[in-house]
Amino acid sequence: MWAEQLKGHLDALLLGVLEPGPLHGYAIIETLRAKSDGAFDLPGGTVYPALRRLELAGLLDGAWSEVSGRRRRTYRLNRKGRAALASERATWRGFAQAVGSVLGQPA
Amino acid sequence: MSEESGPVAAYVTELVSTLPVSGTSHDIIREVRDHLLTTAAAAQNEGLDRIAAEQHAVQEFGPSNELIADFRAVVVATDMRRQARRQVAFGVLLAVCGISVFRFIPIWRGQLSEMLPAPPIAFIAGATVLGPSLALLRLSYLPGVYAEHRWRAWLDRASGTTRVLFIVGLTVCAGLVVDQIVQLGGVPHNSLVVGAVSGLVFAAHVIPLATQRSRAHAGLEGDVA
Repeated sequence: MWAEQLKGHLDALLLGVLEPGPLHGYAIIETLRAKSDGAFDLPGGTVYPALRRLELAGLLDGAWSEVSGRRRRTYRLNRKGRAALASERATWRGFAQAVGSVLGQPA
Repeated sequence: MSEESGPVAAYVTELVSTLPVSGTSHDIIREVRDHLLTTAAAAQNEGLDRIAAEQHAVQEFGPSNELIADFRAVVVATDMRRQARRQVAFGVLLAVCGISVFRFIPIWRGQLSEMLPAPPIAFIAGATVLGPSLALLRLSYLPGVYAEHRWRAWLDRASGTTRVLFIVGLTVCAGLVVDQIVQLGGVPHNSLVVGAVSGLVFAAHVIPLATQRSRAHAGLEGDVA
C-alpha cells in the first residue's frame, strides 16, 4: 500500500523503526506494519536490499546473533545513522508543514 | 520446518544460481531463507498447510527476478569494499617493508649516507598496488555505486582491473624486496624469483582463488538442501 508515496522515504522509515533498538529483518517489517496501522505492509524483497544499502552507507551495523534459538542478522542504528535520522526527521517536518499549510484548509 | 522441496527451496535455489558466488551472497541468501521460513511458519500457525504457507511467504517477499538486481548491486559493492580493504592493508605492509629494506636498514647500517631518489619499487607499488586499491576503496564508499544499477558493469571492470594490477604489482614488488633483503644479508644469490613466488602466494591469499569460490558455492548449495 502507498508504494509510490513511500519512494524516497523508505530509508528514513527503516532508520526510524530501528531507533529504539536493534531488530532483525522480519521484526523490522512487522514493526513498520504495526506502527503504520497496516499502511506500510512492505514486501521483504523491498526491505532487505534497503537494509543492506543502509549498512553499506554506514548508517546501520548488521551482525548475526542468536534470536529465539535461531541465528538471525540484526540491524542496529549507529551514531551516523542517528544523525541521518535526525536530519531526515527535520526535513520531513518542514516538508509536511509546508504541504499541510497548502492542503490543510479547504477553500 | 523442513523445506527440502517446496516453494521456499525453489526460491532460494533461484537466488543461489543468479547471485555472484561470494560470502556476501551467502549471507543474503541465509537471511532471505530465514525470513521466508519465519513467514511460512506464521502462515502455518494461521491454518495453511506447508506448501500453501511457503507459497504465501514467497509471494509476499516478491518475485526473485525483480530483486536480483538490487541484491547483486549490494553484493558487488560489499565484495569490492572488502577486496579493496585487504588490498590496501597489504599495500601498506608492502610500503613498510619496502621503506625498511631500501631506506631505513641501509641508513642504519651506514650503507646510505645521503637521501637518494625513491627506488623503482616505490613507483611500481604506487601504480599497481596502493594507488588502484585506494581508488577502489574510495569508489566503494560512493552511494551511487550500490544504489544505482547502471554503475555495476563499470564497477565489475574496475574491480577486475585493480585485482590484476594488485597481483602483478605484489609479485614484482615482493621479488624486489626479497632480493634486497638477501643483498643486505650479503648472500651472493639473485633471489628475485623466490621473492616473486612469495609475492604471488601472498596475492593469491588476498584475492580469492577459483578453488575458494567453488567452496563458497558448495556452501550455498548446502544451505538450500
